[in-house]
Amino acid sequence: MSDHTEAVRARAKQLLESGEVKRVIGHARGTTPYRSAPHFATTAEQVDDLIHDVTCASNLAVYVAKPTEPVAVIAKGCDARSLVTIINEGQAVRGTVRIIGVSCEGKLDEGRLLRQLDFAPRQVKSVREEGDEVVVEGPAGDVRLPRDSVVMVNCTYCRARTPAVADEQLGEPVPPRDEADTYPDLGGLDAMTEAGRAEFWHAQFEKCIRCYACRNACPSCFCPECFVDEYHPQWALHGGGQFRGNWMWNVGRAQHLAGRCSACGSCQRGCPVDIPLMLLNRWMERATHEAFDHLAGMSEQQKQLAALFRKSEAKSHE
Amino acid sequence: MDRLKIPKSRLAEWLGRLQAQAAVYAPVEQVGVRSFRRLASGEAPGLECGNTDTPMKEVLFPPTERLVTWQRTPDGLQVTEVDTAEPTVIFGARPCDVTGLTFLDRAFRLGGIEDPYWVRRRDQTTVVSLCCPHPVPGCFGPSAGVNETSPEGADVVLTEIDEAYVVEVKSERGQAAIDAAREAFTPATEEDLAAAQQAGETLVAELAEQAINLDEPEARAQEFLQSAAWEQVWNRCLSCGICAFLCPTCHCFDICDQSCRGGGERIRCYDTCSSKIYTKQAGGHNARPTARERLTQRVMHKFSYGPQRLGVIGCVGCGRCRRCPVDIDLQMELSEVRG
Repeated sequence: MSDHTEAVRARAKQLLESGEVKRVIGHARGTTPYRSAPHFATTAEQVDDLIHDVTCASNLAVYVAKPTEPVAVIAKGCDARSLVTIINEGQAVRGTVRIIGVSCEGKLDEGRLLRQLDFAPRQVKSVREEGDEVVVEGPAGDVRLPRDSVVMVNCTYCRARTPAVADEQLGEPVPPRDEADTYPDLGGLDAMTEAGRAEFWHAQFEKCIRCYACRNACPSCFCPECFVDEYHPQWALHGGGQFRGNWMWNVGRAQHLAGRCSACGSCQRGCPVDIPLMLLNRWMERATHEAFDHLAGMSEQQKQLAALFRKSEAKSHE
Repeated sequence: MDRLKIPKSRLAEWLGRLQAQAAVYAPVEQVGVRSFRRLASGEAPGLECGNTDTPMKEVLFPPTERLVTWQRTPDGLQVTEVDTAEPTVIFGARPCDVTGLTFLDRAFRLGGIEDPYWVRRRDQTTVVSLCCPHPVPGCFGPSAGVNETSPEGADVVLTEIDEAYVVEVKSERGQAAIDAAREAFTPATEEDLAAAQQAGETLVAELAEQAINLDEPEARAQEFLQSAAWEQVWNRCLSCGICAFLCPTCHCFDICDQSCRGGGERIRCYDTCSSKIYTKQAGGHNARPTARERLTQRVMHKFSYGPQRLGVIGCVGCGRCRRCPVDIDLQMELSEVRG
């Protein structure tokens, strides 16, 4: 169970009333029972709209760039990893961010959920978690679905179901998934030849419409001026052909995220043309994990990946 | 004129004839995404219920296009205008996307100034619209003024009845498209016409359950921008381009010249008012520095400037902007602002 709505509201109320924080960043119910929307509570009335359940998928760390007033963030493990990453990279000040950790066993992937229902989305009355199932209340009663079949795929290999770093914790701790370190999600790519992988990504990137939702939903993409903005929106065609621009964008972004991705899945979730960006990010995570024993945002003491260079590694690539 | 129908089994024949005369674009799924693509010879369109993921406007207003190329030669600068317009049939476009074309027709001819790239393509295009057999989740076309059974902007309208489509011809261009394979069509019987009428009435009745209220859009827009909900909405906007790029009526673009090695090209591609650098000026000043100003522009352009300048709102109820990663639904907000 990871419905922490009551606990979140009670804690948010205390923090705002005591003046410890000026704003609590969480989620509220969205436009449907299977959606939530980021929500900013500064008053008691706004606290009453806070929820935390299986729908609260989006990464809230994206709203915490250099706050000038103390804020609290209702943080799943991935939000916390992102917060630690941006704090360590000097984009937020630790003292102004109170991390309210919430345990999490996965958040809904809307597409995976709706594809399994044999009734119209508007007939969904409510969605809740029970044990290892997600229960959808529909027109003819409850439909019970295994949780792993409806949550975001990245949640099924989560290494931070309990935040590794938090100022306080709501809900019982949940252990990480074994799949976090064995990378079964990369099996498909591993089985391909190098040329096959290139072909796979060519086909995927060809779909990209360069809306930059992946970037804007990502807490680690905080550059005031992104490399593509220097030519925006013409970057797409620079150097000949829309496709090469798409390749440049997606591969360039993945490389910038090496050792900095919290595996929250917000990029893939935001993508309107369903590019499996998490495969790319997990590929980079495995590479940096294996080569440098580095995992983004799992410790406040850790350095950035790029600052981990050891003299013994000089020319080790040769 | 007699009403016609075409059996589904003869659709391929009709498409083949159309392809002999024109480039035929229709919904095609590729790598998990449905969009309007040029049909290869013999390729079947994906006509199942539901909108394409990306809007049909891409056919006439591509995300990126070359306008002019140039090359430095010993004889001087050689400039070539790029004109890729050709006779085109858009097949299987849903009424919302078709209505979006009528919005773009107004926008790209506003004040008598024509966008030549749009006009060249549009003037050679025949639109065969296909009515939705069932309400698509999230559709609120009728609330946005879309005629779901005979959309404005279509040359031919098809309504599905069992194993055939009943045909409505709405223009001379539409008639020419029928004449391309006249023998594939048969007269529609009274029963066929009654079935098509019934299908339309059922659809509209079912869509009423998904209706929202966009009456008096200008007043609603103003009220929304004063509401408590607005504060939450602009605070959570991520300033990405999903809503604009997927919208059948959004039409902002940017043009730039790119030169290299004695040659170059002038290109244009989609731009969006939600991008934080959309209004960034030389010298660094930004007239719309936060999502608050940028989203205000979106609300006002769609629901206030649209009605004022073009006589219609900039929304056709397709629901694609509900792909918003942070669940911003401006139409729903405007509907609810008056309770």
